[in-house]
Amino acid sequence: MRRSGNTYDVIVIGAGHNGLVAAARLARSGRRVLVLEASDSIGGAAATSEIVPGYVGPAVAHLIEGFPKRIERGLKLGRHGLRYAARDVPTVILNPEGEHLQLPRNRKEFARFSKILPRDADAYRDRVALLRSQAALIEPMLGELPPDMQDVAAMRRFLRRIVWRTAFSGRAMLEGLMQTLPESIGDRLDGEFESPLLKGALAFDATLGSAEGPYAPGTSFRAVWREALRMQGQGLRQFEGGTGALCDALASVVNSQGGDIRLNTPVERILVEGESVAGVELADGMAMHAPLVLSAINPRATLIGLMGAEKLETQQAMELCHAPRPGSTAKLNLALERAPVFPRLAAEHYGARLLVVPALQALDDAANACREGRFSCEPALEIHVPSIADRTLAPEGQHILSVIVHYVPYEAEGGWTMKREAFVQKIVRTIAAFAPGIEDAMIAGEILTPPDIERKYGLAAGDWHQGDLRLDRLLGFRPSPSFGRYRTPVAGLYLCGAGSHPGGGVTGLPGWLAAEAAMHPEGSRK
Amino acid sequence: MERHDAIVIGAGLNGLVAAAYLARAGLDVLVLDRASAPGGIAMPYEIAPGFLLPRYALGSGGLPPRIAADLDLGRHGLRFIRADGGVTCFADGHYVANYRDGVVHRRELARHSRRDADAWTRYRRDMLRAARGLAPLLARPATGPARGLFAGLRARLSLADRLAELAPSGMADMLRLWTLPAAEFLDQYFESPHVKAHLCAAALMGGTLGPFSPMSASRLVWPWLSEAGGAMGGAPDTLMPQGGTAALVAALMTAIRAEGSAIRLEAEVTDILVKDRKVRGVELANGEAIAADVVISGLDVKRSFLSLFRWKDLPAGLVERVGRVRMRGVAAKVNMALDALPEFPGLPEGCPSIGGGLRLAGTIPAMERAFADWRDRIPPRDPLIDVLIPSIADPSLAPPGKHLLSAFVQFVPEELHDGPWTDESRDALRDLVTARLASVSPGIETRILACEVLLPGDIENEIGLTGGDLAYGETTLDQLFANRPFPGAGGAATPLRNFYLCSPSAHPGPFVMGGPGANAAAEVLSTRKGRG
Repeated sequence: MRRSGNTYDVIVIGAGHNGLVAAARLARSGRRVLVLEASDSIGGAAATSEIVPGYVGPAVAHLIEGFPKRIERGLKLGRHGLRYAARDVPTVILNPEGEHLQLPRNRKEFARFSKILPRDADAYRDRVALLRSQAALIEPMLGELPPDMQDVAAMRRFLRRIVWRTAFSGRAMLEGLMQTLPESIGDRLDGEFESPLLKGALAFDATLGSAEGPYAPGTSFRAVWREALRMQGQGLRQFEGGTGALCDALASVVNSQGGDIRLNTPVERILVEGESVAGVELADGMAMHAPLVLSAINPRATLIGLMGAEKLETQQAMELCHAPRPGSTAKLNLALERAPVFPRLAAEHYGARLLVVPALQALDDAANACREGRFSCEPALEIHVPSIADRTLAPEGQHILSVIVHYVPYEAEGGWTMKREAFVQKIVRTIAAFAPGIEDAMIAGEILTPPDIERKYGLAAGDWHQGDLRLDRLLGFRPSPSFGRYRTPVAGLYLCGAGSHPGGGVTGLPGWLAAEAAMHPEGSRK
Repeated sequence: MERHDAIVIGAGLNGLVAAAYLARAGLDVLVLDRASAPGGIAMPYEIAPGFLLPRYALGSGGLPPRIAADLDLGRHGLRFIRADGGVTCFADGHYVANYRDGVVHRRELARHSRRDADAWTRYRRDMLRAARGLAPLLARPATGPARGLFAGLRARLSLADRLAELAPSGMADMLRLWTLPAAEFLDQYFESPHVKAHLCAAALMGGTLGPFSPMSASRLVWPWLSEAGGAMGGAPDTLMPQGGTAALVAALMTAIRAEGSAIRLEAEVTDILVKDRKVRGVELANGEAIAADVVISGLDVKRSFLSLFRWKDLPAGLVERVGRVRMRGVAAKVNMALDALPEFPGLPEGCPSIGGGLRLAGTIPAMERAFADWRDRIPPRDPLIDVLIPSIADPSLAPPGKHLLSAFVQFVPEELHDGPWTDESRDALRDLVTARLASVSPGIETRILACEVLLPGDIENEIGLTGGDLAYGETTLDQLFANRPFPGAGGAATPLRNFYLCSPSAHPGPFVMGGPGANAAAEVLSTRKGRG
């Protein structure tokens, strides 16, 4: 093949972590890879951003829980500088009126937990066991290509495997799953637990990243899915140097294999010749050629925006034409001139994932408020102080506070310009209730509302997950039935972002599996 | 001790259907009911002399032809009337009517949007397809996984094979229907807000989900289940028994008595007798004990297990499982006697759809607000109201020239956020309903001879239905099919030997009239055959 400056084996659009995982895997297989990124930095939503000089915070995602070991090993990321600042980070629910509650990870912690919540302890143990057994059932599906739905034999094998697995995994699995799939997490938790704090936290985990309230049918299943992603990964952990360190390591893999990563290079359109992809055209009109193009940006922007709906059949275009679901999560990063002080929080828990959650009813109200463009007076937050475990993020003695805010409307009533200040104040006040004096320690801050996330990271409507995790958008149906296996109607063009199976979160799996699909196109495999 | 082959507790429609099936199979059946008249929630009652309507039910709906034919109800004098399937009137003066005739119906939709009229063909096809797939599942017990390892496994493997053969688009359609919110599902077909609200309202009535709640779309398919649903290309029609539900109940009673079985009224069952984990009979309030091979309960699942049994007789964990079944009142019933036919100046004269029911609705966002109010237990401000004037299609129900009005008000909480319903809040609800009615039928308020409002609490107190939930348990997917009445049940059989459920708490729920009763009878008979 002709190897001029403009011709590559593979072009990857978007240098978020999924795009880079796909690029790195393909580069390691000996292909010459070009990664094109529209913004001025790699990482996308999994990047690290500087709040003010000297203070580095996680741009959007702050803790990693679903990044599989086999991707880390397969790409030899350790050799490319990936280090962990903290592993197995605990989760602590902040209690406004008593002892903070750590979700137990082992027997010793469980003993403490049952001392604080004697009546819920056994139910919690049962729930974790049930969740794990249900998650174990679907976990293998997350790490493999979804079955080809056109292929009756493959589908039959896939479905029969599920039936066999459920039949012999005990605990009346199928019965349990059939109820878990459609029920709401709120109803489930109300039936099992008493503590509003614990119920709030478990519902928070199940609904984070989605606009559905805890009483919406189908939310119980998300807890199972999330647990399954956790099993694929290696537990809650924090990279040294911030979340962006992952993308730096991935970029280093790409570069070491002779691949190129170009920043500030937006793609104008995807070039198609006949039935196959030919490359891309850049904003400056230059054409880059490759027989293989992978897009990590959202499926709609890829296929309708860059390629053009005229290459699609009506049905395929219709599946993509729905407006993107607006994101409902905001991010706040604060630079602190001294360490935050959480009275009653044990010293070893300062680096934990800290949850501020209202009771279920209030969480439900927050979801309703969000739908109407307002934010709740009792916000639900996930707080992390990354600089506790990783001293490189802030100057000596100073800290970073990273906050994920649940149920934040994309379109605020009266407009975000008007509401931004009040919103930040509300969040800071909520945190200050647990960490008094934090307002005075703030030296700078950065707030990313859903529209900001859209603008800054190109995520349509500010949705981190490029499409909600819904029962009708799983496996081969993600992002939609026609594009379920990373493939598109155009040969050589693949989707590799969070819009594809298994979805959002810093897992690298969509990128990893898309690369697999691209390396073994249908027909070439026996 | 008096002894029967089977005892049915509760002479509601399903109890009577179950008893009629069993009696026809040659069993000696005794039906017991604590009330002085049969019918349960469909109990015919006179709101004013000469005005006969079902007290707690709307009065529309017919038995599936299969059941009516099996029980030979035609011979016992039962006839059904078909009416065009209802009109939705909006606060802004617009209306959408349902017509059985496809050409007329599409023309009606074209008044709102030409594209929607075209989309109707696709929508109708998809609904009929889904209904056709669903119908066989409803006519037999949903296989619960509790049915033996190998039989269950075989059944599920064959289900897996059948699913695999569905084309991807078929599977995608199925997933969409069962998981999407109704509003979003309708967006995929229609554009006119009135057409969408018209269809959406039908999906919300009687349910506990809002238009934007996931999985509410599945309720759109129920009206299409009746075999004639949309057979002429239009919307599904409304079936009504001639002579009202009273005639339906009477025909079932005749069928039962013709086979030599008995119905005893004013006989309240207080206890179910259990020995060695098997149900042996019942005990009445007057202390009388009656023995039976099987006992079939037509009461709701909570009432059946939690109040008829001594808890220590129940298998471990059952009390908790039953306790967790969600039953919440969501609608109030309004009954009225009118001294003349109300006029509807906003509707075309002689519009046949009025006979099939009238729905007063707002836009889809207004429905979402009404739903949110219900969740917050605020008295309804803008409720959905389903009205049936059964005397239009069947003048025999009211004195000559006079009319009956039966209505459901959707999204009425059992209890208000600030305490129980008071007389003032009840009057306010009555006035709100009257005002909404007057907005489409000016002057109706002067024609009301009698009016009563039955709140969920009243329904619970009067007939013992838990929470006043007329669906006998919420009809979200986690409480349907194999999960109804509780996970792993999936049919009329219960964890207790010889004890069956035939109320809509059991599969297939409230959607198929008489369905739970027919299923219960079939299960009883197949078990007897297996043992015999």
